[in-house]
Amino acid sequence: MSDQHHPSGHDPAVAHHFESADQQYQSAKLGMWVFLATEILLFGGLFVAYSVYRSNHPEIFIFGHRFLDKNLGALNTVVLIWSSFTIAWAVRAAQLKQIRLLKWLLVATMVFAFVFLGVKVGEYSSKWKHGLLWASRYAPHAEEHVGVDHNAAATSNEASREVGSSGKPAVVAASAGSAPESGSSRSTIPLAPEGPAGLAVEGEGSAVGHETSLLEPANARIFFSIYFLMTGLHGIHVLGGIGAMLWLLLCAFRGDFDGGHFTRVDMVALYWHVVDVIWIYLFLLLYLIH
Amino acid sequence: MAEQTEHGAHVASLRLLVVVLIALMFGTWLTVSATYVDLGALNIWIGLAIATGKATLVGLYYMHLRWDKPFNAFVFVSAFAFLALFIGITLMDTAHYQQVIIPAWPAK
Amino acid sequence: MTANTTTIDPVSRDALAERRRLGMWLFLASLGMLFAASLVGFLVIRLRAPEWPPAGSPGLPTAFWISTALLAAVSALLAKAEGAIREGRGSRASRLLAAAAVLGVAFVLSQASGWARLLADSQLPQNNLYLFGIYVLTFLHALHVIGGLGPLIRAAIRSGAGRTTADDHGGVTLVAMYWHFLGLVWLGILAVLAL
Repeated sequence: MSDQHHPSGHDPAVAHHFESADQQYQSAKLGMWVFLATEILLFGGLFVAYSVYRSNHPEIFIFGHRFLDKNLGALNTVVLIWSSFTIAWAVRAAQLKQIRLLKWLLVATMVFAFVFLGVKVGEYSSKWKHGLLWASRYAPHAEEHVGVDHNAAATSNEASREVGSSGKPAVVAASAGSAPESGSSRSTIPLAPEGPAGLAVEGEGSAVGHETSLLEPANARIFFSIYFLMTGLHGIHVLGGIGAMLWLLLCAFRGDFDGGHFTRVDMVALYWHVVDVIWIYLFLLLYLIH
Repeated sequence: MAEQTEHGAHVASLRLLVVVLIALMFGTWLTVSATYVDLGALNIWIGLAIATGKATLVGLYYMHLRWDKPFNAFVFVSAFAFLALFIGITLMDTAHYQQVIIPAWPAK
Repeated sequence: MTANTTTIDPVSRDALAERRRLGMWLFLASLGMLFAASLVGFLVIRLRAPEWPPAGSPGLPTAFWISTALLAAVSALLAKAEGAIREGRGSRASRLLAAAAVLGVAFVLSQASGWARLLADSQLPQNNLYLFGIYVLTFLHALHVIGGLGPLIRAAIRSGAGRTTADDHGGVTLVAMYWHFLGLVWLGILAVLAL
């Protein structure tokens, strides 16, 4: 980071162990790509867990994904795509020494990132309210705590509960004060709305497997374990990206990019694009299950 | 389209960035609407294909792989290749033993 | 305290600056432990409380959001000042540092305003730990802000008096590091309070 003039006359921006600025830049790039490969493998491990569990217990995914709001997921996807656009543009701005534009683009990218996190916080708290959590914390109930203790029955393989009081997959508002009928335990957990109007299949939704998909399978909690683990890890990466962008913003204020040294911006942008790509797959595999 | 920095690094044109943005949005719309058409087991593969297409666009243009040294792309793709091996072999293995674990599991 | 560093040869000068930065990092790490401990303490209170936020507790005062903006501005000004110093523009750096100091004082005032509002709006019983927790966190932080004003003003005076040149950042970098750190800590406190 030293900009002081060296007596030997070599470019102060090039570290001593590099022959040239270009070699330094290419090394940084390669290093970042290797790191990104490790990130792919990190999430890859979780995708393996997903694949194995989905192939062995598809009913859990067909059941669980109904509690994820496709619209919010799609919104988040679009938000991240836009953030990739703004940060790619930021790299261009840094390359062309358009510092003011660079600052605004960094801010824009961070705003998008915060929107993403905000939506996630909303989704997570809704799950929390309804007890749709991971592993042993899975205890679904409607907001008025009118619901059945799923833990006891879930251990038995015969356990099946009808979800949704009317059988329609539309948003079922938790009916205030409705007590479960004795014997038949009816959950009043509201389901996520089905897709934007106009794109949804007319009527009650897909008839294929409709009735069976409403039955809560044993170990439905695993879906939520996987959901929280994967999106949670991704969210932490988003948070890290925001931190890196804050740092870039400070560097921009300090004048580090005035001379056209854009490598830092380039590297953070590469990281951010991977975060975006991972979400594209997460959205598909968790929210868009048919 | 062939803007360069002083050191010769390639600068992406704004027009290209916008075109890719539009393509990515279109891909998202396509993926979501595809879920409303029931094609059975094909659905997931279509979804994955579109997602991979989007990832390729991001990688090639936003992440500059199109104009980079090919080795960087090789590093990135190899991660996916190993991941494919990881998932593929694990699934093969688990499918093979499913019947042993769950007797009622239909044999493939 | 400082040797006349402008006549030392470049290599030793770099090493000196490096050592000072390392020292600052270590100092910030120890401060970080202090703040981490206070955050953990607060989290323990929060997680063990039967109801959170407790009934009758006031919401976060808007003054705290203003505080956030002020600290962000301080960080931006200090980054600019660092850049100015590097270009040898001591008087510009001095102005930026002085502005940052003013905002630092404003931060403390906005905190005080926030505390007053919390006290006024609270319907909590006397023995409730909610406000106590908030005060401990924010007071500790504000004390460090006040402490940081000294070096900040000193840096402003020194660069204004021309006793720093492009070759000697005169501790501007160190001061900046400290204030960026305080900004981060504040974000952490906000996160723990607001979420």
